[in-house]
Amino acid sequence: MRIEISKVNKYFGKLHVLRDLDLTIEAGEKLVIIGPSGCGKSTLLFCLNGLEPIDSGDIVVGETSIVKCNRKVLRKTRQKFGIVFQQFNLFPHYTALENVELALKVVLKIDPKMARERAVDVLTKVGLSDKMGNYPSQLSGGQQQRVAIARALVYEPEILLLDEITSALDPELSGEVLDVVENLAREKTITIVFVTHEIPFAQKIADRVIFIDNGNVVEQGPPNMLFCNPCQERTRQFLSKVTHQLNLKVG
Amino acid sequence: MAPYDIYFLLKGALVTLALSAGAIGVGSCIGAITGWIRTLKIVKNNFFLWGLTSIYVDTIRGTPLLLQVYFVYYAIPPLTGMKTSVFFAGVASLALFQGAYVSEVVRAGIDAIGKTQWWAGHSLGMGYFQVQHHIILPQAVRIMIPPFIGVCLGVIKDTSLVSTIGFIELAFSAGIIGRRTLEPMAPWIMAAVIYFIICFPISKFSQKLESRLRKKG
Repeated sequence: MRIEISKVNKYFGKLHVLRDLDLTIEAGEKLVIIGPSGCGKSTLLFCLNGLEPIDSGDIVVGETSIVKCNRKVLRKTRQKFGIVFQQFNLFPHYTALENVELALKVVLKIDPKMARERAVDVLTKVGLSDKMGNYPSQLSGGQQQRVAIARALVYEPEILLLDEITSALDPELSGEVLDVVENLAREKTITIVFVTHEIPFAQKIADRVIFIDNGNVVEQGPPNMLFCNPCQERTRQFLSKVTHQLNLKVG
Repeated sequence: MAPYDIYFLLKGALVTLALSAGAIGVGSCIGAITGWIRTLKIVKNNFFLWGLTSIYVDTIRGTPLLLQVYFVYYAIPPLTGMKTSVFFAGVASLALFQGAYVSEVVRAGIDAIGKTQWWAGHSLGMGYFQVQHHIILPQAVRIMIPPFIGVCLGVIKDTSLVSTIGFIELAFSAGIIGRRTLEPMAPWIMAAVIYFIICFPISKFSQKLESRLRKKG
């Protein structure tokens, strides 16, 4: 499903977060967004499914403008999205299984037995078939994030939004989460928008990388071009900082 | 103390229990509704609606309960022409008092659940009330329990203030016995013990409930 973002402006009070941002995301594209913290990349992600309202401009998902549509249509459109947050945002009072099946039961109102079957399937897919009865507090960070991915996948979304899903995890645990994402990325039809600092991983899965700074797209291109041979000075600066940290980690 | 005195005191205790139950029951409903309304965006962003609810909450929280009891008992009848019995005045003033405090407990509990839980719910296509029902309230209630029980215990003890309008509850009964027998110590201590016997299990129950809910995640 194609997403067209045109002339989007977003303010937090006086702070101008997104400035006349234009971007088109093709159906099935694996798009990686990088940029310094506070540049608006997470905000952009939250605007895509209407979690954050925008101040001007338009966002069209498929055929529907999520800015102009009514609430009912917005809720329907959101079911085409799956979103995974940096801090997991699991429901702490539900087990892993209940977290995943909740939306099926409450929103789609499908038969509880079928909901359970589907939730079990998805949890198995992310490798958590033995942890389904656990509460989030009884799971490791990596496991919690995989539950969150399963929850995002339960509608079989056409678009998956991933907001720095590994930055709250230590490197060992982020590996297991990235493996899950890598498997998902093999599916041709699903669109993935991935905000991340994991440059080696981005290189592996991305069709296109965009670098955002100051609320706008500074540079974009295929991963090899943008990472290895960026045109803009600002991109180069940012990448040298990030890769420097990466080298330190590895070294 | 004669057996008759003890019987009299226990009768007072029953009245205190009835008064507390009435005030807590009615007051908690008032508080839950008021508190919930005050978390709604339309109310929060509307000067008039917010002010209206604030007048209630802040007036009650900003004035002594004793004066509120007096007001309901002495001032309401001439103002409205309504006749108020002692029991009605007692339950009404305590319920209004409980309601104001509970409303803040409820509001704080709901507001304590962060934006990110709303996001998680909304992103699954859930509407406002669905998120509230399945995600926010179950967590908020857990946070509300200790302060809510605290307010209830306060109201149980504050029922003694209603004795000032001639309501014969536990404290008043103890006073009557003390004045009649000229031995005030015994009935007062007994009354204190009875208050404690009423309150202690409630706070124990609250702790148990809390730890049971905490086990769940």
